[in-house]
Amino acid sequence: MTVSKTKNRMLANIIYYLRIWHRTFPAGILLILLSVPLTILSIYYQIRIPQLLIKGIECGDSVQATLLAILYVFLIMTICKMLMEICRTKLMTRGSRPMMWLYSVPVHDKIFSMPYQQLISADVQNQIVKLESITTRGGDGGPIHFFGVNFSGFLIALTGMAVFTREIVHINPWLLLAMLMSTVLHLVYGIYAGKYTERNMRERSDSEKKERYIIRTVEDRHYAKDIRLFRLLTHLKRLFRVYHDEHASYLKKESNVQAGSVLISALAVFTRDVLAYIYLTHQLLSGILFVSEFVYLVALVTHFSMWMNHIAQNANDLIIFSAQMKQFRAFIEMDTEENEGTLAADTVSSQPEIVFSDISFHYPGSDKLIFSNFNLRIAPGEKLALVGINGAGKTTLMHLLMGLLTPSCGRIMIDGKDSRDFIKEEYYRLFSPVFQDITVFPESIAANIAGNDRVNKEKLHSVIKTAGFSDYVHDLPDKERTKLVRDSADSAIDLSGGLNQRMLLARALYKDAPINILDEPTAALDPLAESRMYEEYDTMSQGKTSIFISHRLASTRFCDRIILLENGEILEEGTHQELMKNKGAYFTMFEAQSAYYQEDLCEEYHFMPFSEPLKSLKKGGIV
Amino acid sequence: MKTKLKRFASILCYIHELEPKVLLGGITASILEAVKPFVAMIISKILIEAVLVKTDYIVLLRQILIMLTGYLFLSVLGGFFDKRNAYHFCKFQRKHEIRKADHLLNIPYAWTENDDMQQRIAELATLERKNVFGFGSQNTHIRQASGAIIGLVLATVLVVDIFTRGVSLGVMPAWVLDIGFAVIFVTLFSLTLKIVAWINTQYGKAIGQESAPLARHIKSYDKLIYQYKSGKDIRLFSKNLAKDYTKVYRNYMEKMFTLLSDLFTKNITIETFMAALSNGFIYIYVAIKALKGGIRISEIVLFIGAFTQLTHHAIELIDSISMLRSADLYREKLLAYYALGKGDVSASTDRCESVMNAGTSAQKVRKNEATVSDASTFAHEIASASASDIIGKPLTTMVAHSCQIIKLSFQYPGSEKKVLNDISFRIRQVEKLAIVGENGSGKSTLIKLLVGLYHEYDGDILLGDRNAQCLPEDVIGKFFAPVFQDFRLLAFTLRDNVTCFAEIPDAQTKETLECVGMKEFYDAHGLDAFLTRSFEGTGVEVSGGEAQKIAMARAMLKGAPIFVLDEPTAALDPISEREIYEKFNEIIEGKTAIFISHRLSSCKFCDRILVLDKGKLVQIGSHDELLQDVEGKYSELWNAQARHYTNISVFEK
Repeated sequence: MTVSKTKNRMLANIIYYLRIWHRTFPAGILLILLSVPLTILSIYYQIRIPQLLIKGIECGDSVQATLLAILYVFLIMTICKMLMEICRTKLMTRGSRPMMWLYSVPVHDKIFSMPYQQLISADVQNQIVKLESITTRGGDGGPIHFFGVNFSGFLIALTGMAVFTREIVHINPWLLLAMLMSTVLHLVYGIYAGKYTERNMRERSDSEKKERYIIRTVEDRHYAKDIRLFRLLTHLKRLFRVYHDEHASYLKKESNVQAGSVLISALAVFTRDVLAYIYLTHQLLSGILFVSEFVYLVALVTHFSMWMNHIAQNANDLIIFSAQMKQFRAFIEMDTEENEGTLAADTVSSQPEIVFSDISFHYPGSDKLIFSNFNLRIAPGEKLALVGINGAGKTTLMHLLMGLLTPSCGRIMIDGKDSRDFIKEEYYRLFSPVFQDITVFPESIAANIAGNDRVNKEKLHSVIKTAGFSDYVHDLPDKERTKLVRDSADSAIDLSGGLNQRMLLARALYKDAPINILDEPTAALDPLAESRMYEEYDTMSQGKTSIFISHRLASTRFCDRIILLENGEILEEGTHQELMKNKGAYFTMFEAQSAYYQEDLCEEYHFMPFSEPLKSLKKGGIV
Repeated sequence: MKTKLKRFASILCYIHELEPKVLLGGITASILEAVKPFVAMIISKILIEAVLVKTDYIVLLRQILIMLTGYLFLSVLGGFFDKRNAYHFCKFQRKHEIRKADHLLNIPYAWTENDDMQQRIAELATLERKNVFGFGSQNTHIRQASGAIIGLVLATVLVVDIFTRGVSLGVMPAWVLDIGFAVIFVTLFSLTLKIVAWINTQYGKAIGQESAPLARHIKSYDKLIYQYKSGKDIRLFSKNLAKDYTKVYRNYMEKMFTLLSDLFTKNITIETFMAALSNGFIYIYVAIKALKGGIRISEIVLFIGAFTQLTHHAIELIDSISMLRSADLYREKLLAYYALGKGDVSASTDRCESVMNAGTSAQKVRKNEATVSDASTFAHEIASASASDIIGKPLTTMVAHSCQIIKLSFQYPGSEKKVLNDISFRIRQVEKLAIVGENGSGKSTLIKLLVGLYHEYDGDILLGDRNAQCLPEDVIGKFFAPVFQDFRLLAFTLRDNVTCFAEIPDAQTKETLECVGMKEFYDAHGLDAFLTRSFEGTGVEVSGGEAQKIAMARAMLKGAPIFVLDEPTAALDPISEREIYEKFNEIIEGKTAIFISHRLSSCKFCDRILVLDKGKLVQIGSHDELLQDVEGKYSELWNAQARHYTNISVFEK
């Protein structure tokens, strides 16, 4: 029952992959088909040559006649062999094209367009880790890479057996039976070995993951300072040995099982040879067989059982191939909620109204409700500050707003339109976020900011200026064409934390969407840069609806309204003055932060209106 | 040529050192495999011979059985060693990876950030993943070569016999045939081998020179794509970039495999053609000898087989040798990598000596070092003594004196720009010192120099009364307990992270965690909880703020006399931040603290503040003292931040 199930899946996966071949390397299929007759013919003619020679001697033919016969056969064999080798080589090397297509196009597409909420779930992440080990590590990708060669080998063996069965039976049907039985035994063991390997892979994946984690950590130069200063290297190496040995013990078991397969195959060959030789020798000695025929049949028996072995071997490879293909297909064909929205971004005004209506949310796989019947209205063009302690749900709320996460209940309305009514890509166009965590693409500064290779230079320079790092960019030899992510190219650099934040700000500005969302954008900035940011914030949020998340309560001063979030609920709400008068949680937080600053604020600053930039207060201009 | 052989030998030693059984097992397997075909040939000879000589059936069968059993034995043993070889090789690869990574941590830190070093590492990684250069390929070719040599020897032994069998060719003397054939065969064959070797070299060159930059670009992108965090940015901003990358990836792979394909195809075609040609002559030669009665029928199969094996193994031998030769590129780079940075150990002794022999600071040190008679002895004493010797003895006396920075200037290796310019100050014991300044003013760099990560600088750093130039890196490290701005935690247990695997009683660990405000966390998850799921699937996710607190606790438990904290509260909310500040004295308790922060409020409880501006030390003093200089940098920074926090109603709209 299980065997046929495996077969069905295997067949389906083979067809699936052949379709990909048809799409990316159609010549390949032709090559696979051609290789079959070519190989069989070259083998057939090769074993005929000694036969012809011996026959010539037996029958007493003339030297020329024999030589000519041999030469003729030899020529055909050579041509077939050469063509076969070319086919095989092309299959082996260009056969990677479908593999590369499979590794990239559908997989990347899925990763980039699946709902973010699904992407971050543990289940999908595990799948991705498995895929990553096949595609990027390269080592385990053998069966897919060699699919062309394996599959052609399988077909060759099958055809060869079909063609020559009659001759083998002619020798002695028992011989055929013996060979068949030993092959079946080999195949069965092969399936067992395959399943054992699969199970073993799953079991050892834990030790393997741990071993790899340690290697990656020791390799990663970002860990170097802490490893050195805290003297962690000896311990890391000790732990490596532990998990290395653990992983190795699994590998050893696998190796033993595979060695068992070798044993079985060798025994099968032994049995076949004993039977074949006993029988054929008897025929030979009794004069029934000519020596030439004997030689021919021995060679034929050898090749025949070799083909049988190949079937078993290739079947095994195809099983592993099928298992890996299953992983790909599971991921690529995964159900991702198709959104049926139709609205475009331009149906929304330039200062949209945002309404959270009865929102409830919990992360997939967790019962804990982060939000429960949450309601909030943000007026068009309002500047809203979202504050609260770590874990209050601020970032989660923004992810819900942006459509990265989906509420379990309730609706989010933009200008009265349900967020689900929008085409997903169009909905994303409504937001200009600055995320808390920093993701830099291995592209130029300009491309990172524009999100694109095609860049509007004027706009780019303007946002770099506003974000406050145009001097830095100007000083770089390649200016905005400087590549980022240090290890990705020779002249690529890494920006410091503060500069990264400014770049992300520039990116948000460049996108120029109607809704601004800034999540802790000043964490790594020095006081001057931070202060400047607040000044710019006014300009940046003009004519848009803006949401500002920060610990630095100073930033809330220039927002129209402040929301204090705790455990997914709005604890307090109002303007800064109202909340201070309230003397509630906000008041406590503000006091906690401002206490140290109160006493020493320089006299003359006390009466300066907020919007006046620092420039005029300091000689020599601002940096 | 000799150097290449030496390198090859070094690498063989390296492989053997990491995993002894790899080479031996593999070679044994290949040799056993090479012998097998000969057994088959001998069997057929015996059989046919028996027909002609009319041997007894039973006797014959016994002979055959013995041979077949031998064949079985070879197969089983060979297969066993083959599978074991794969297993040992797998182990070797992991050990190799960690050895490479380990090297970088055993040489001075400056190398870690060095561009040249990073490039080397990237190059090695790229080469390893390719055919020809990687250890997998080398292992295969070493095995192939060994098997080929044995096969060649056996085949030659068998083949030599045929030349001794004379035949009459009527007009021509017998030896014409033999010599003629030998000449043709050898010529044809050496031509084949030369061509094969040439193609392999071309192939090796092409692969080696191939666009490594593109490979690194792809590796960086792959790292990014497979991390889910980048999903946000891709969806909200950079979907086009990501899509373009897919195209780049495919084009690159396409180019690489087309190149491979063309070269391989050429190789195989020529090989096959030449082999066929040789085979043709072999068949003619053997046929003539047989037809003219020079060799018996029973020997036909044997000789044809032996010649075939000869050509086959000769090609394999040349193939593997030329591939191994091409792989020299990788071996060279690997050995160069391991040699880098080692030279620094002796260099540091020189530096120490020059420091001792130079100016006033050295004299000050010498005065306090009553036990030292002369500079070089001191230097060697330090270099050869173990860390515990140096630390154990005069630690308290070292701490009793202060740290002193004298005219420190520094630029990153390879850069002209001075990141620190002529800085001098003193850190008193049990002092809380703050360092402030704008982004890029050199604060973090100063810290890195202090804790001993860089040692090529102008000026002196004195720890206690020892010049840091004369102390090994790990000894300097013992003085400091850092929380770096970009600190990293390990995905191990909370306990292991905080204690750094030291034997510290749980009660003390818990107390420390409570001090930094992590009581709730360890009540909920316990000390055995794994942090993040990178290592252990059941691990707990930690927020940025929680991570910072854990890093603080880790620094506290290190037990070093000087705390170095770089933005330790950046990710904390106001309440947590205040908790830390309030407990700060408790946390620091009798130790010295150096504190970098953009949150100038923390400066208020520091004893003194250092103000850096573009690498120069512009102000130093207590908070009150510095504020008095209204024009000063500190004042500017303070007010820029403070003005957002006052209650004055003027700020209301």
